[in-house]
Amino acid sequence: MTRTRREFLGQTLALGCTAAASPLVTPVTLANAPGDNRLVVIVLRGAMDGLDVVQPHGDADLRRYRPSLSAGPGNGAHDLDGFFALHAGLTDLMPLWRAGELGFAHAVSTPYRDKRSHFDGQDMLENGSAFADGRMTRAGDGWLNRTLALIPGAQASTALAVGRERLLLLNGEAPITAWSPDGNLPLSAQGELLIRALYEQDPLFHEAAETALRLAGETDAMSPGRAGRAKAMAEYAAGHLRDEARFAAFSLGGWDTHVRQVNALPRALGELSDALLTLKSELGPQVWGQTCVMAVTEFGRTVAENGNGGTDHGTGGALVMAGGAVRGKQVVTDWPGLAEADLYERRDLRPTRDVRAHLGWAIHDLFGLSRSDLAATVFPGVAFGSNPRVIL
Amino acid sequence: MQVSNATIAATRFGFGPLLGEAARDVSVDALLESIGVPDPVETRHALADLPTRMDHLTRYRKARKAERSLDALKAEFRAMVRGDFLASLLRPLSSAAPLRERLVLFWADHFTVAANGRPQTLLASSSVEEAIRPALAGRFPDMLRAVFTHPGMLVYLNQAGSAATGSRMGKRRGGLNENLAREALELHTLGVDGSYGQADVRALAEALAGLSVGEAGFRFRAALAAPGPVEVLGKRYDGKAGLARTTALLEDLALMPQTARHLSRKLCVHFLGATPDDLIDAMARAYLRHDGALMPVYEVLLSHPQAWSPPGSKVRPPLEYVVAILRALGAPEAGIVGLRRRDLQNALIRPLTAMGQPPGRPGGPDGWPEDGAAWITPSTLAARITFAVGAVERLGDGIEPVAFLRDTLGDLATPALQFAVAGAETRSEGLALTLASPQFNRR
Repeated sequence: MTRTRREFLGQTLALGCTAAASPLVTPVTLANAPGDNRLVVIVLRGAMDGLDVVQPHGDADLRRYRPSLSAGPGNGAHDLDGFFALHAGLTDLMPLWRAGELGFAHAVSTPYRDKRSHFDGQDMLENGSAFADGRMTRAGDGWLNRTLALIPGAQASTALAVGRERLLLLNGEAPITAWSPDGNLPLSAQGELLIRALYEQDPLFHEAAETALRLAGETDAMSPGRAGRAKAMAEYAAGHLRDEARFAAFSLGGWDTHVRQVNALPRALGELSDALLTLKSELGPQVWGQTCVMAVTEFGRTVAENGNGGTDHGTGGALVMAGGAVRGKQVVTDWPGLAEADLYERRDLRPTRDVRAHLGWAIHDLFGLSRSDLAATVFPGVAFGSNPRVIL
Repeated sequence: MQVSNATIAATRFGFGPLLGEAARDVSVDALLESIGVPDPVETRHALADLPTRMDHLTRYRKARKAERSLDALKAEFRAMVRGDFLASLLRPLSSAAPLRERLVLFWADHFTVAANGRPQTLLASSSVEEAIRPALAGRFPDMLRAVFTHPGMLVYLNQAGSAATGSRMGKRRGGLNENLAREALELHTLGVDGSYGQADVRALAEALAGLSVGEAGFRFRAALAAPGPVEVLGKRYDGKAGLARTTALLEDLALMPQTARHLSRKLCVHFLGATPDDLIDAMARAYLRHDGALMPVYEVLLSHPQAWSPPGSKVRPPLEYVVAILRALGAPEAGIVGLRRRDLQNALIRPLTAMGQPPGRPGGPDGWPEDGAAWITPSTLAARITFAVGAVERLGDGIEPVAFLRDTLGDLATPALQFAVAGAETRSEGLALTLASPQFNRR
C-alpha cells in the first residue's frame, strides 16, 4: 500500500506520543537541569523574501530584477556592512544589530527543491531530513523534539510550543509542553475529574487535556488581537524561558507576498520585530544573554519581481538570528551572486548552505551536543560544514 | 463494538442527530439522492448573489476614491458577511440532507478561498455558493471550471493580473504570477505527489493567463493571455487565446488519472480516515469511466464496507463540532438569527477562532487540516470544553443528561461515558460531559 507523505504524517500524529506534562511528574531537579542556554525557534510561514529583508545592494545585478523592491539604503533600508542592507520594516531592531545581538545568514535553504510547495517545504524544514524529494524521517517527527531526546535531564517543561497550532518541529517521542496564552477552563473540580477519566481512553484527548488543566490555572484569559498576537506569544514564551523551559517555538504567518510586497512585507516584519523585542525585554538582560533566537522560513522567493509588485516561490533565502548569546553584527554567507548564470534554475537565489547546518551548529554550541549525535539523530544526512561560530 | 448504520450515517456522513430525534436508519440510495436536492433551509438563508457583491465592491472603491462617507457601505458589508456566516451555520444545523452540507464543506475546502480582506471576504462565500454548491452532484471538471472562472479564486491566488510572457500586457508590463497554477496542480488536480515539476507550473501559469476579473465579475482578458499555442503536461493547445482554450485545458487536467486518484483519496481521508487501496482504485475508475461525474464516485465510497465500520478515526473540525452541539441541544434558528452583532462574536465567532478555526480564514490554500492531532491541542481542547459548557448554559434547560447521552451518541456511548454523565454534580455538567467527550468530538 502506498501512502502519501502527508497521510503518513497525519497517522503518525494521530498515534503521536507527545506525552504532555502531567502534574504528577516530579519537578526538574537542578542537578539534572539541561544547562542555562536557551533556543527559541520562530517558523516564518509563507516563505520570507530574504532578498528584501536583507538586501544585497552591493550586488550590481539586484536592480535589474527588482525595479521597485529591495531598493537599498537611501530608500529607507539600513546599510549593514556595505553590501547588505536591512529592510526598513526592521528599523526597531537596528539597536540590536549595533549591539551585536542580531545577525543573519544568507543564501540558505533546506534541500527541498523545485515543487516549491509551502506545505512540503515547511514539513521538510521542521522534520529536518535531508531528502531532496521531501521525504520525511521514518517517525515523521520534528528535529527540535529529537534534540530534546539528547538533552540530559530534559522534561516536558523543558520545551514549549506556543500557539494554537500543533508544531511539527516539536512533535515526536520526547514530551513537550504546548499551550496558547489565551486559554482557560470552566469546569468544577468534580467535572475536571470526570473529564479526565473520559479522556484517559483516548491518548490524543488525554495528552491535550492534562496540559490544559495544568496550564489553565497559570494563565489569565486574554484574547490579544492580531496586532498583539506575536507579542503575546513572545511574552508567554519568555515567562517559561525565565523558568524551566530551555526551548520554545512558535510561528508567525504573513510572508507569502505574491502581491504588493511593499505593503505586505512590513506587516509581517512588524510582528517579527515585536516578537524579538518582547523576548528581549521580557527575558531581562541575564536570560537574554543566554538566549539564541533563530527565525527560519521554508524557502526564499524569486529574484525577479512578478507583475503584481510581489515575488513568487523561490529557493535560497535568509535566516534571522538574534539574542545575547549570538555573535551578531554579521551576515554569514557564501554569496553566490545574482548574475543570471549564478541563479538556481535562472530564477532563484542559489542556496550555498543548508539552513539546518546553522541550526545544528547553534545546538552544538549552546547545548554541547556532539556533531555525531546531530548528524545521526537531529539532522540526518545534513551537511554541516565548518562551524560558522555564530554563538558566543 | 457494534454500531448501528443509523448512528454511523449521522456521525460519519452528517452532523449528529437533532435534539429529541435519535439517529434514523438511512439507505445508501437515500443518502445519495439527498446530495443533489437543495433543502428549503438553503433558500430560507439565501446569500447575496455575485453581481450584488461586485456592485458593492465597485461602489465602495468609488466612494473611497471620492472621499465620501463609507458608513452606509460598511453597514452593507457587515450585513452580507453576517448573512454568509449565519447561512454557513444554519444550513447544516437544520438541513434534512446533512451529507449534502458535509460535501459543500469538503469541496469548499478543496477549493479554499480564504476570507482575507474586504473583497475576498465577499467573494469567498460566493465562490462556494455559485461555483461549488451547484456542481456538488455534477461533474468535477465543471466544478473546476466554475471555480476558476469565479472572481473568488482568481483574486485569492493572484491570477487576475497575471500576464503571459508573450501577451500584449506581458510585453508592456511583464508579470506572470504562478500562484494559482501551482496550487491548481498541487492541490486542486494532480496532487503534490503527481508527476509535474516547476516547468509544468510555469507552463500552466502561461496557459491560465487571461482568466481575470472585471467590474461585473469574471472576465477573460485577451491582452493577458498567451497569443500562440500553449503546451501543458505534454499536450498542445492550438486554439486562439480565449476562454474555450483554457476550458479545454482545465477539462483535460480534471480528467487525468492522477486527478481521479487524488480526489478519491481526499474523499476517503475526509470521510473515512482510512485509504483502502481497493476503494481508491474503484472510486478513481468510476470517476474516469463517467467523465468526472461525482455521483458514481460517492456511490462507490458509500457502498464500501469501510464506510459502515465504527466511526471515530477523525476529529470533527470546530465548525462541525459547533453545529453538532447546536443540533444536539436543539438550538432554534430564530435565536441564532436574532443574535446581536456583539453576541454573535462572543457566542460563536470567538469560540470558533479559539478552537483553531476562525470562520472562513484557513491559513493557506490547502485549507483546514484533516488530521485530528492538528485540532486537539491543549488550548483548542480547552476552547471546545468552554464552548460546550457555555452552550449547555444557554440551551440545556430541561434536558435530561442520561437520555441526552443516549439520543446524542446512540450506541457510541461507552459504559465509562454513561458512568461519568451519571456521576456529574449538576445536570448541566452532565450534558457538557457528553458534548466534551472524545466520542462526541470524533466522527
